[in-house]
Amino acid sequence: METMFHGDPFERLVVAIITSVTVLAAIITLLQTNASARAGQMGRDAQSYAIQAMGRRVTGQANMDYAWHAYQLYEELDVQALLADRFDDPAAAARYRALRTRIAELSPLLAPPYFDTQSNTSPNVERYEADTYLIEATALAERYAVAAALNNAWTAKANAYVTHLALLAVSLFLFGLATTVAGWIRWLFVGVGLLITGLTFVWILVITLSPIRSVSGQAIQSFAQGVGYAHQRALEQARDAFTRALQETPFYANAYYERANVLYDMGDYESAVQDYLAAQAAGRDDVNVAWNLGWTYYLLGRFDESIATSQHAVELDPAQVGVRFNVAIAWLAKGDVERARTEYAKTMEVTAQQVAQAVEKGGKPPASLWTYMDAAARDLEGLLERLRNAPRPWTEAPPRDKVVNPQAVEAAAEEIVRRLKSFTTALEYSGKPSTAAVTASISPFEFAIPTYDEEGNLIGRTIATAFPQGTDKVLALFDYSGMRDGQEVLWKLYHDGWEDPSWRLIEQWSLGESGSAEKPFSLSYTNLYQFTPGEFKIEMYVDNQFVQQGTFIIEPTE
Amino acid sequence: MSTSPETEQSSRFQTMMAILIALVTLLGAALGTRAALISTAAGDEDFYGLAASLSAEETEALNTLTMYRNYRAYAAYTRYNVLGDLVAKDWEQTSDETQSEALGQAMQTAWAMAVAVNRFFPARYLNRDGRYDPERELGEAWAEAAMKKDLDPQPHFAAANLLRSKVSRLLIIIILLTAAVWFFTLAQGLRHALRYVLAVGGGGLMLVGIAAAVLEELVHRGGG
Repeated sequence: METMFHGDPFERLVVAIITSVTVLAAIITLLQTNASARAGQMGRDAQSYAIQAMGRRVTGQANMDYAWHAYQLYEELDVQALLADRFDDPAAAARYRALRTRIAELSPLLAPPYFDTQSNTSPNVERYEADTYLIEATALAERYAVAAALNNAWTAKANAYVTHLALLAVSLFLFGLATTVAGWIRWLFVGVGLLITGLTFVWILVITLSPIRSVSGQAIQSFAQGVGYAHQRALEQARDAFTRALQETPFYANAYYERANVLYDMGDYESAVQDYLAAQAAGRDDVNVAWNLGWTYYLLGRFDESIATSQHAVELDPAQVGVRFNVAIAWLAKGDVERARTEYAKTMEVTAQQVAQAVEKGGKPPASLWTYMDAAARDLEGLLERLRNAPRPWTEAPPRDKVVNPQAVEAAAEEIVRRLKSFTTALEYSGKPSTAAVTASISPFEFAIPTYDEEGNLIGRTIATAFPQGTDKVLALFDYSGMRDGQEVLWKLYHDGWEDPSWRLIEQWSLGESGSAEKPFSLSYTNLYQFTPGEFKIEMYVDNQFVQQGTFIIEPTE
Repeated sequence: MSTSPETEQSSRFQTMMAILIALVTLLGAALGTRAALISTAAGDEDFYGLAASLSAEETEALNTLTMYRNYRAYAAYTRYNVLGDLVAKDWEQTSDETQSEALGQAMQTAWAMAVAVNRFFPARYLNRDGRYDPERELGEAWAEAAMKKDLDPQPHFAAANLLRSKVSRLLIIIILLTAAVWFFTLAQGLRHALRYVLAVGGGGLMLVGIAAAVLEELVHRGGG
């Protein structure tokens, strides 16, 4: 050895090792720089896509806003033409129609394929939105998400390389230290240094060879088209587009999630569950997926899984009252009435706190709160409809045979839904839950239409539960007791399961403590409008307490 | 004190290697500094590109909102103006005095309203047929904005990508130079004739590294 090397052979060996590790460090520096550069590039692209996506949405909405305004003008002229016809002024009607045609030229929304001027239907706004900006904005938003994920992945790689460099620095320090001491300890330093270097080298190989997965551009395009179709409620086309996206990129979590939503809308709950689970497995474990998955389990009657999944969603976002109500209704359908009551009470308390906090800060609670409260009541009503074997087209509830102890559940659901409606109304109008007891007693509503003789004089009322199309006035008839003049009475009207807020009416009671009354619901102040066919539900509240409801039908003309 | 020719030669060789190691290390440090500067320049280009992206989207959004505001006013103008024209036709044809009076009033009202809303949109974007040209308005507004601010991010992003590639290439050259140091270091420590092979290897890598660095600077100019 001494003839082969100048100086101390140990030192020469260490110098050779140091130089070799330095070469390795230089290579890692290159890898780190490249990873860091890619991370930077992806971060920049992500920001750029985010800006562009926002821009497309803003300009698209501006376009839509204008198009909707043009449609509003068109509708106004249409109504003016109809009224001119009714007032026997054909020349004016012709003018309005000619003008209407001219206005239709001012927006593509009012032309095929979005609008047929010969038909009575509204323009296909969803298709227009999809075509003008939604698909493009969605694709940009997805590119942003993909670039952001790549940015994270490359940043993780770059950081790992920095750790490698730090470890190599430690080993270089140990090698250097070895040249300053004598005896066995210097071999120990060299040995530990080589061990660190070896382990680091293996780690470098693992990091370098680990691929970074990315959603393909074609998959993003198919996904965006799917979102466009789903927006237009073209569910089969949407499903197929998402399937194409998944064929391109099988780990595309958002595509699983959106396809699950489409399958849910198509009523294929089993497949929807599979896709929600696939979305979670692909990395999208957020509150929305858990929320929808929990609800779909509920509709399938898989209550234990529903509770566990919805509970997970609550953990992800404890402020979401909507998903808390889903936990409660799943307990109810599972037959655990007491647990359900507790969950409903707890959720109502959370809601009251949110409202109180918002009021305390001088603001308003988020409007979504009322949506979730109404939805919770609607879900309970859906469960009741299912248990009574009277489901409506809009009913969403688990199969009757899956509900445990249906009689007890029905009784509890009826009581909870009344409490929930009173609670929501009190919270909305007074900012706090009502504590007063219900003193009013209202008999079940009967519905009637006024009848007139040939000269238009009122001659009586026809009581029925269903009325013909063309009806423009319906009376709710009821007996009452325990009322007090000056009490606040609120009326709500629902059409096919959804409240029409334009009918909301608050009035002061002035009919005395007891007696009989009729409440008109009328469109007869114009000679143009009538009730649309469907199911109408009237709800009555006294001092924000739910006291009665009734339903009538407007039958479509055959 | 005299030394043998062999020892003297060996000493000269070691000195030569030490000088080469020092030179290559200095060159490597210079290239490292250059790479750092270019990397900073790449970051700057990214920043300029993002700023241009933001400006472009802001301009697009504001121009679109303005254009639709104008177009909405034009729609109102069209409503009144065309209504006035249509009433005028009926007014010309009617012989009924009462109706003529009512139509005349309606016609004048419609046209007056048309004039009233006329000033809420720029008339210069009206075509010869009297129709509004929103594309022209957007195009002109964009052109005007482009004279005042940078609205094209792509050249900046392309420049940033090029600069990053340059940094990578400089790092590869640094690796070559580090490998040259490795050869020189081994050659310096050896007595064996293999040291000359190592020295030549190191020298070759050094020359390749220097040539690559010069080429890089001459062919791919730019950076900090």
